[in-house]
Amino acid sequence: MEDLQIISLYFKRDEAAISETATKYGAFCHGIALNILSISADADECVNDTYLRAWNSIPPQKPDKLGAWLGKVVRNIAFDLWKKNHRQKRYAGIEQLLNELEDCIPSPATVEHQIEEQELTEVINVWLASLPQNDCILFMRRYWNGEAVNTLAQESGTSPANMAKKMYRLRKSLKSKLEQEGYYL
Amino acid sequence: MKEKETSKLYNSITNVDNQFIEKAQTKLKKKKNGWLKWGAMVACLCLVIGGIFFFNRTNEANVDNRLAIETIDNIEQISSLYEGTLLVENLVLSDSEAATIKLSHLENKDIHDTSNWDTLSVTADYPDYSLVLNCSFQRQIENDYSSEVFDTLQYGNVLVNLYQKEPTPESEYVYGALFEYDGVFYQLLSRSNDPDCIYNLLDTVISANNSTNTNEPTEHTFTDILGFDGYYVRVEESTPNFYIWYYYTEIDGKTQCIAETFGPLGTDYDPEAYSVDLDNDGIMELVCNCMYNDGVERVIIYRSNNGVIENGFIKERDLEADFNIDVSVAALAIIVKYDPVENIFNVINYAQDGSVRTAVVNMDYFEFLPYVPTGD
Repeated sequence: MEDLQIISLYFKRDEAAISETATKYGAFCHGIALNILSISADADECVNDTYLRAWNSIPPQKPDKLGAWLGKVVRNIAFDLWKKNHRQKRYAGIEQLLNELEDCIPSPATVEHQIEEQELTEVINVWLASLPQNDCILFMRRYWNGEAVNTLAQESGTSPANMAKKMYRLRKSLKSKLEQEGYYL
Repeated sequence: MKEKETSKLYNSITNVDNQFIEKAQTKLKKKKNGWLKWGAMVACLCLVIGGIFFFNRTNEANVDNRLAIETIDNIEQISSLYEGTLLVENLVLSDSEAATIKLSHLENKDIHDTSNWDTLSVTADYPDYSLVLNCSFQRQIENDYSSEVFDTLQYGNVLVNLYQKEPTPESEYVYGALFEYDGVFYQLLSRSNDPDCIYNLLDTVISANNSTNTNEPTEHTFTDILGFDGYYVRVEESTPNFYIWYYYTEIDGKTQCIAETFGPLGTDYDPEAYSVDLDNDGIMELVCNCMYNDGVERVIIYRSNNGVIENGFIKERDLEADFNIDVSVAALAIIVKYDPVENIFNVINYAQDGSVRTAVVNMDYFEFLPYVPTGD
């Protein structure tokens, strides 16, 4: 079913909206949640919460891209749950990914202006647009989808160590961009 | 972890433009031959840093030795073809304001055959400096500097000679470095107002690949862990001197990661991990003494449970209940370590009241969950 048709079901308050959403985007949402939490049961819980959030938000919201919108919602829900359970699942899910993102934090000594989240998103958009296509996909698949470096390495036909090096260089590049723009987090 | 900053970054990444989210759902390009992009043909190549360098064969009258020059889009196109190590891969060109890559090769010969390559040149402008990295595949690069060598550096078995050139109005320090690596002759030129620039560039270009590089994913084999034989690979993480070891085996023809451990470098290559049958079921568990990059020490046990690989973490609430371990302290104040000689798990707790509490536990104090590899 097309996104517009699914959204119209939400607007009609037809509960088939949820089942159609699950059919089209269930695996996608579950995959993102699982990459963050690494526990299938917790991922299921997040996906169900995502459907509930969609039901409660549409209308009045009318997402342009339903898949991307659902992905953002499930990411936020999963991250909140991960933070809540963080202490007990120390090295599960996105612990490693968040450690990697520390490399992107500009050093406060060199920069001037504290950046707000929305502004930071805009900077990241510009930076992503400047990347070669494959690098952009790599960064997003690692830090948005939360996919493992090993998976990305296999798909690229390179070694895990080389892929780890590549991701490191991309993080450094983002950090450099933020520092050039004079931002700190 | 810088929690506030990483959360901000994480949330900002969540809200990037939908076009990038859609891109994230596409496949990656596999490193393969045959997709070098053909740029414009030019008669000769000029590279300027206070001078002019030509890359021509000496015998231009010989039609068979004429060179063609291609503009290349990105380094990956080159490295996908070249079997050896090319130090240009260590340059981060996405940071540069302008980057040009040119490859010269024998005209009318197969460009995918690297034996037909003559030179590769990368020119990049950054906010504070500019560089040219020239690679010559067929012959040494001539030293056309009028000055003597003013410094010599050694990176493993790579000897680098440094020369100084006349400053320009924009750049006080103009340096050239000549060296050879893996059969390729290099010339690195830098122009900057920072006297350390050339040294930093050489570190970037050479250090990542020198012979003492601990990033080499050398494979070390193991037998009979979790019912499998396989190999483990060590990868250096972005935190200096912090490593992850990944254990791989083949299951149904597919390479799968069955365990991982992490910490600082111990003896040589090996992690602090032990293969032991803790529960006497005939299958060896893998017991890992791990250290997180914030110094926290814990044990992770990997076991096979009816064919499902699980990893086990200590149940701190049970330690509190049975041994009065103070779990209200920071994670660093509780150390859990496996003693392979006594086959026991030692717990040391630096409690809030200043006392040191200890416990000796067994596998029953670990909670097991299905193992999902976290990355590489």
